[in-house]
Amino acid sequence: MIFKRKELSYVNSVIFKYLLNGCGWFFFAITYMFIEHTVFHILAIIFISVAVITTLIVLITKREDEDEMAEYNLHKAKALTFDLAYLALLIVGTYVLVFHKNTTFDFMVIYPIIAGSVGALEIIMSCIFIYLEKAGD
Amino acid sequence: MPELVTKIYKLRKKRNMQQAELASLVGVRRETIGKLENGKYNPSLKLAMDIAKVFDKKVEDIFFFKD
Repeated sequence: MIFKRKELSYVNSVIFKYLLNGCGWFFFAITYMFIEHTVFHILAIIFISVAVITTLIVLITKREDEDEMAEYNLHKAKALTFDLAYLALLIVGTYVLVFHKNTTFDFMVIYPIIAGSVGALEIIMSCIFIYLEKAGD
Repeated sequence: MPELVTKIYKLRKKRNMQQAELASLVGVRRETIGKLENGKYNPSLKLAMDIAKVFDKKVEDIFFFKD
């Protein structure tokens, strides 16, 4: 009996690589803020495991090759997400400069914000990519 | 701005060819052929030339501008 290994479509590989991975990081960051509680600690482990598993799936599964339209859409989605991240960083930077000039930040407070932001950016990027793949240029 | 239109759909139907078949001949995904036929993606020069080669036509016979 010959088993044909199922190929992961390119859009699905982006969903695993960025959307589910981003969700894992995002929810990990939220639960990390309340890590002292056992329930949130367990949830944080589960969410970070989701990020690890989705990355592994993309690495070990046979994937459909990227073609020029996928490459174009992915670059466009990444560029748009970068613009949004840049704008968000400018707004946060301005806010900190105006209202918290002499404040020092605890890394344990900043870490989940950074992790959550990375997750949110991956989610936004994959959503833009999926939209471009469906709607076209 | 003039719109880029293609004759891929007509040529494909004339040859009784599936989108997936054409996609594999020119090395892209089936979705890319779909978007090209609907005018929702502008191909690279290489892809346009590959498609023209499959149909044994010139690029300008398949891709042209509509005012």
